[in-house]
Amino acid sequence: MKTFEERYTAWIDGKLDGAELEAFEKELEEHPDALADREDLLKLGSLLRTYGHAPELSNAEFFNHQILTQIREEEKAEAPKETVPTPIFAWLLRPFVWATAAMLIIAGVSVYRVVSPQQQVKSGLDRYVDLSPTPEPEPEKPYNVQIVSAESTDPDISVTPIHSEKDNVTVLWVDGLDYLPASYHGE
Amino acid sequence: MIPEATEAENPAPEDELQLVEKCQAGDTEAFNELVTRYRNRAYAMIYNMVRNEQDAWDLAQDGFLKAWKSIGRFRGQSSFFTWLYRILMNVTIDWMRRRQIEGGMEFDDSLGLRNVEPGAMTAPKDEMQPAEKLSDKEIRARIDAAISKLSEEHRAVIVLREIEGMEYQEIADAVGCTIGTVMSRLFYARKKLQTMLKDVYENL
Repeated sequence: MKTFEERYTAWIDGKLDGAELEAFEKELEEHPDALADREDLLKLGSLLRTYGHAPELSNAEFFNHQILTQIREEEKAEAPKETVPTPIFAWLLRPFVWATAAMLIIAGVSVYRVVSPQQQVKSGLDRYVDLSPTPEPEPEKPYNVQIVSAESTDPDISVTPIHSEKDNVTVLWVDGLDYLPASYHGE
Repeated sequence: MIPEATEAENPAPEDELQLVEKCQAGDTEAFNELVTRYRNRAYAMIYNMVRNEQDAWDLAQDGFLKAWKSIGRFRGQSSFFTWLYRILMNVTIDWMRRRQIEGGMEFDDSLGLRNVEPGAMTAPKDEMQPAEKLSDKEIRARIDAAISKLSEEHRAVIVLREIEGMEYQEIADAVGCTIGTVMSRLFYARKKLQTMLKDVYENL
């Protein structure tokens, strides 16, 4: 059973017919203002249709562009990263792995022979080591880092490296930075 | 009924279905085509709800993005546009509710109905202004102001029925309620607008 409001709306919109319309119009005889009200509501509808329309969508092509850009960005972010090589690559890589391993072993042996000949003499395992000259012990380096250049991208800031051999220390002197606020220290 | 569109905007159903299927396969160009076809109507519908161009633009974007994300769930039980309309309507109503909560705004749902019985035939005339000729700009401003005083639910049905020209069933599908609820909301929404705009349409 439809409510009065539902039937009234249908009557305004001309959606009642046949027996339903007849019955409702009989009911409306108790409401003498009904016809005037209907005229009113039809004028209201006409007003809304005439003046209620939205302005044109501006920058329509950019509207599409922005949607597609966002879709692609989201899909890119969600795409899984490729971590597993394809089987054909794995097969191709295998000889390189073995070659690299062999080179590392050879390099390791060479380094061992050059770096610790004294240990080898002590162990007596290598008799021709005695013929090679005893390497001079390397002097202790004054410092481990060498500053090649020091410069700032900000033209107002200058950077000067200062090295003291006596103290074995290098200082980077930076001029032009903003002072820290006094309150910073307290915090 | 959903408003008639131009030939370019109103494709044959098969064509639209093909585009939807392509979208479901991940074809963004097909979705671009659907956006082009429906962007104006989507924007207009949202504008009529929020009465602000920038907000309508942003919400239409959100609506299309949501449609893309959920297009895999579209089963073709209704037309694509009806389905899209529902998404757009949900996006818009959610936004209006959030804004209402954040801004502490309150819709005066009882506006104009304090003295109106559900069965009353005419609206009270105490808010009418003296007869004067209004400019188009003033008329639009009055309509904007009146619609903005309606609740989201009343605003949705009045916009879809009076401005978009949709049928009750289409409105029910778009809003997600029964036809009876649509008709009932229309009754009250019209009564409120009648109260607020009577002097406008009587002086045209």
